[in-house]
Amino acid sequence: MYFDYLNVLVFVAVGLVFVFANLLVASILRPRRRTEEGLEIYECGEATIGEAWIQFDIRYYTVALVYVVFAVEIAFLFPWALVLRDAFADERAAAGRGIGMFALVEGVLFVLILFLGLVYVWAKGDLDWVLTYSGTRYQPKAEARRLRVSQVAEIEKERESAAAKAHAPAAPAEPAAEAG
Amino acid sequence: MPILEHSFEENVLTTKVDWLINWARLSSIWPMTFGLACCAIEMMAVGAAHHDIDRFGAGAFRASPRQADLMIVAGTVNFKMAERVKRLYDQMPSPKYVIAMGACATGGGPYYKFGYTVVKGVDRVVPVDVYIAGCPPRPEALLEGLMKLQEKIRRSSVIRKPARTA
Amino acid sequence: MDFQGIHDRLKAIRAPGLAGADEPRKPDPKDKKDKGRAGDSFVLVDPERLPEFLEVCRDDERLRFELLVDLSATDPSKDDPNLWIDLALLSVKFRHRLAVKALVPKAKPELPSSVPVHRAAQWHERECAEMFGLVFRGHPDPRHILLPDDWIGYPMRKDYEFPKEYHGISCE
Repeated sequence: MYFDYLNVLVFVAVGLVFVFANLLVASILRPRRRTEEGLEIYECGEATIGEAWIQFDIRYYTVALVYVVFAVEIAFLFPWALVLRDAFADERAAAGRGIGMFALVEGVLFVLILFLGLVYVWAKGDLDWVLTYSGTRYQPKAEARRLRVSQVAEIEKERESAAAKAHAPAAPAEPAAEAG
Repeated sequence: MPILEHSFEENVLTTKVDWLINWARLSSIWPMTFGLACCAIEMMAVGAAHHDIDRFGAGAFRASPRQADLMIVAGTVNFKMAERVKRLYDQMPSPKYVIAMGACATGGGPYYKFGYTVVKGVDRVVPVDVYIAGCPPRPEALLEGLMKLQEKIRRSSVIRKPARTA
Repeated sequence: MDFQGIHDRLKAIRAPGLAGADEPRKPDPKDKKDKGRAGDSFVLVDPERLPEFLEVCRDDERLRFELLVDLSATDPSKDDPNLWIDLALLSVKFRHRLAVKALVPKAKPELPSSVPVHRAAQWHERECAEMFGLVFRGHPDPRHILLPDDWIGYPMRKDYEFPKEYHGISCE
């Protein structure tokens, strides 16, 4: 029975050797050329400005927290799911004192309580990534100007007169403007 | 760690070890994405399926200079960009190589005469190992340049003492 | 409207700074030296009144040139004492265009900025300023836009001399 754990140990050991042997060989073989410019902080070729310890957005924290809660819930559901069938079909159940039904109801209740927590967080808007703007509606500084309707007739008249003028001096006239 | 670089005389063992190290290095040259202008498109063609650069082991283009061995300067280098080219070259770990791809990186290109902000060749900024002519060079030309770089790596001496020139 | 109509309208509303106009013409057969003028018709404007002129063009109901398509400059030759400012205006409503030019003396290359009238002029004026040495009074952000911040000289002028080196990199 303990032989299975030995398998895991060998697996982990090979993984560690794989990584650290590579690093060791590389550190022996690589050329020693440390320059001051080479040790600078990388910022896409630019000189760095300020510190990298900036204040992070709190939305990342909220999402991560909700995720952690549900990941732990899944971790608890896995062993429950594995033994549920046995709980229904073992010898205690056959004798009429089984815990199968109890386990099922308990598990469903667990999921339900956490689901209610998710519904609360969702409805309260804590999972929204794009926040709704709660300020006033935008008012433009200047009134938008509009063309008065009476101008359209004037423009049509002008187009006719321009077309009439075009025939006389034989100068090419551009097609006059259409009403906007 | 004992420093092994250039510390052994040339004999049958060190040549074989050097051959192995050089083979490992030339079969896994990881370039840094440094497409600056039109030559970048030919570099993308080299990275794509038809003129596959991955068959040379060089298909893992790294965005960060910290993880790259090779800087393919593909495109025109301005004075504004030259500062960044120099800084990124410094931030690459040794051993590092530079390929100047195309006419602009080799010697200023079509902007040699009147381009007031174009550096006349990237070798005024960083040391170049291989120059590739063309405007832009065909993808096969870039692959030939890569193979020339592999030849250069094959000839280099890592733990052997370098050959003395008279 | 065609160019004649636009020019007539500008004259009718007494657009500020209007100083003339020019249209392309074929060479005069009688005068051997006259080579004519190719290109587009344009309206000549006094550079000091340029923003007011643009505002009138933008707001007049029959012109409505809301879109400033281009604002650039030209140095015709070393001997010419003036720089040309070339603008292109487009009316999206009426679909007519206008070319506007202004002459600015090289001895005093200053004119007021058109940014309050057309925000598109912001980057165009930055480019003209760094390439020709023009000064746009009242520009909100007069930095270099294409050239490095410590570049010496105005590259697009005809009498520009190339630098010998920049930050240690040789330019020869």
